[in-house]
Amino acid sequence: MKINHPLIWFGAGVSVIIAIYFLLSSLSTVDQDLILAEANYKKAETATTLVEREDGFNQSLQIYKKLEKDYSPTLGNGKLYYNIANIYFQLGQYPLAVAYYLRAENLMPKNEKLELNLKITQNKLGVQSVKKASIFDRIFFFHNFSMPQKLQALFVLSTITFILGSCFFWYPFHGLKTITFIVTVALLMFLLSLFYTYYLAPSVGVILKANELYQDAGTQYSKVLSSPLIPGTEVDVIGTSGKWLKIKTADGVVGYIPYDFILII
Amino acid sequence: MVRLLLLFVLFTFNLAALDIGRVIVTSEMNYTQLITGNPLSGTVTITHDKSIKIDPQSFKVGTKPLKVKFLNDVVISESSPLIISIYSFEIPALSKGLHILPEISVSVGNKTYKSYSTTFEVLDNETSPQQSPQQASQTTPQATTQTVNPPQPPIVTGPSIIPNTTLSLETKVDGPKIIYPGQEITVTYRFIYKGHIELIKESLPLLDFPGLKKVGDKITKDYMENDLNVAEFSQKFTAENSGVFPSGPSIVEGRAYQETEGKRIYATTTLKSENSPVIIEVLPFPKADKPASFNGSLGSYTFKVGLKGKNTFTPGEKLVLLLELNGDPAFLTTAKAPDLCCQPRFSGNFKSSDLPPRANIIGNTKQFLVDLTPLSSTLTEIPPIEFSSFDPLLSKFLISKSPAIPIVLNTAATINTSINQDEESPAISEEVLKTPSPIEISALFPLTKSDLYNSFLASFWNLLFIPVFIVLLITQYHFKEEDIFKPALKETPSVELFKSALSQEANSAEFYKQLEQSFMMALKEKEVIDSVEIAPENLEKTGLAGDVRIFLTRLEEVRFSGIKSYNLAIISSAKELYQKITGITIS
Repeated sequence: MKINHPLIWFGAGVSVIIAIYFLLSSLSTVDQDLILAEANYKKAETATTLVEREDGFNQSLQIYKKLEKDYSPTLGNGKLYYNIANIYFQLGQYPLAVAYYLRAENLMPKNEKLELNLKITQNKLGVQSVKKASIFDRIFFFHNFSMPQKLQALFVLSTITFILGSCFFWYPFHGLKTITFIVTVALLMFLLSLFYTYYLAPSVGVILKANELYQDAGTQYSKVLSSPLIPGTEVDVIGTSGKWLKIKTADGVVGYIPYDFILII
Repeated sequence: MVRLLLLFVLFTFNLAALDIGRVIVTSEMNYTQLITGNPLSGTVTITHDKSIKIDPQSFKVGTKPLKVKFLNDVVISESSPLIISIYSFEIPALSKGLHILPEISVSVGNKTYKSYSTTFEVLDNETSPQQSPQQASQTTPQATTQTVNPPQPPIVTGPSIIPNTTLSLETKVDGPKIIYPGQEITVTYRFIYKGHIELIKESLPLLDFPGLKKVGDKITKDYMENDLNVAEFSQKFTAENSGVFPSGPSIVEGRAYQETEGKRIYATTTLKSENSPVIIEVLPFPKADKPASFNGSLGSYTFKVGLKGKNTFTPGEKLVLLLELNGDPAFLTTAKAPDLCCQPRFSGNFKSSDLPPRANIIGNTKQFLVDLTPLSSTLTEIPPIEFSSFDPLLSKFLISKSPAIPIVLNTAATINTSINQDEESPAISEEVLKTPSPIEISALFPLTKSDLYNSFLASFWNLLFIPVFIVLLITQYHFKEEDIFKPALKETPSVELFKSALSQEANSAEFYKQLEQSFMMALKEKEVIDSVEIAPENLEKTGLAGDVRIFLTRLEEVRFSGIKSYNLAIISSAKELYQKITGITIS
């Protein structure tokens, strides 16, 4: 059979198609979604018209929002939230961008890119970042750790404590007591930090739409502030009352706001 | 205390009020504790049929829940089904002056009943020397109710009128009685009194005007006016919905008294002041001629629109509009900026900011700053803006329209920033006009599937490891205590030889031979000597080897001495030495 025989070309074509099929199918739907979302974003970044740009960002946002709903990486590395925040920024949805940057910041503290983007967004809204580490945080510098890091550290420290405790029984060595004491104290500090973050620290929310702050849960009550709260403002959520949230501003003013005007981080 | 309450209750309620099935709620502050810096306590009494239950969780002061403590149930008489339930409550400390105790509501048998709002005075800790706090508190208007008699003081017969005492109530409504939604009125009560007066009846319905919405808190003022004491309460209201809202009459009634040697002498004639009911009518806005741009502003204004700053923009660049309304200051607070999104030619051409317009009132002018972003390249002007308001005095809508404001969309910067301005500008194409602005923030993180999951070991299930580890440590402790893991005795050659030697007859040659071999073997196992072939007399004289050398020398002496009694001592010494060398105890 000659090399240019039609059957050889046919067979080669079929092989190439099968190879492409297997290559594509080896990538999961999620991987394809991630590639598509990134491609849409890059396409929007280089778009030459406003319409193209908004369309690209919007397509990308829809994919990321679906992934957020499906996977909900609340103890992940925060990159998904950062990307969503970026897209909200590009679409001019600055309050939502602030909210998602703050979500990402909880999972990736001290990230310079994130801090810069957040600052730019807050400048757009005319609000200032509220960096208020509690006394507990300031003493134990735990605000530098994200919740996932705290949980990982907790596991590592508890395992080391267990191993050192076992050495006490079977292979005691010089300095074991000191090392065990230090590790156990570190473990207890992380435990306290987790307890504080989970049970004692108030939830943080971001105002999405400008709204008045009321004395109690209803518009029939008097307003606490003369001007409405600016979108993008960070507040502490300290209670609920039906469809109203009791919040505390950075200035210490306490009042009520409808729950759909705020996004809890 | 209970006796006092009983007395109070008996004085408070006359039998006429105790109709079967009727529920009466009264509230009163505890006058003996109305001092600044102290929490203030009061009492709520509810007269009701004993078969109807009171929901203790349903107490509310105004609209806020009130925590109460049940004190007692008082049966009026055995023949009456009515009982009086008494509850106490506490409110935080208040500043000096007159205050209002709002109406207290409670659910009795699934129906809500209310007491009337009343006034009380909080005195300073440093009370005037002439009066005790209790006495002082009773010289001013204080709490009572409209439907029942107040607690009666021990009355000492006195004159029908005490001179230099007066009590009157003035009611004032600032604003028209016929208003429109959004319009504000202020209601003011003035208690004007002189001398010692104990209030026995009080009804102030205007402070909770039905159908109108309160604006801010009540404002209280105390002052003197021509030798008369004046306590003034004012409350601002705004109309929300149309309708006719009548209030009941405003009544205040008190009894003047004199104090002589610590005793009060009450006038037999009471002082009473009654103001006629007030009716406020809120008219709906007329439907006819209502402009589409009307958004609730009241009053008559001149309307101006201008650009704040430059009038040359690039597409997508924000511009700031300055809207000015000049008119009656009484209505300026109600004036709202026109909704630009709904104005003709704004939709699609301009994007409004998410932020509300920034408002500022200067004298008779209210200014609004509105952010707008031009979206279309074809824009040459900001279209005319229509502002409409309703003038309550003329009862008609007023419409103002601003002229269009020319703007220049300069796209030169986006085409080529190096273009010389003296050169003629190239023709601006539609596509170039729509060119978006540069990206302001850093790029996305490239994501992989692993970025969608929670981090490794980042789980609250980790907390479960802590009790598991604790249990495992405790288990190890027990194992250690019970020597479960202690290594079993290893049968080394020296052990076998030693055991074998002990099993031999004490004076036999084999006994001495195997004993000697076992010690030499033990020394070799411990790596004290290199070979068992070494003669005992050649062993070192120090350490374990020295001990063995001495023992074997002694053994030789015993062996050839023929004294049998030494054997037991030798065996015992052998066991000790063997244990010393190997750490193994041979029984």
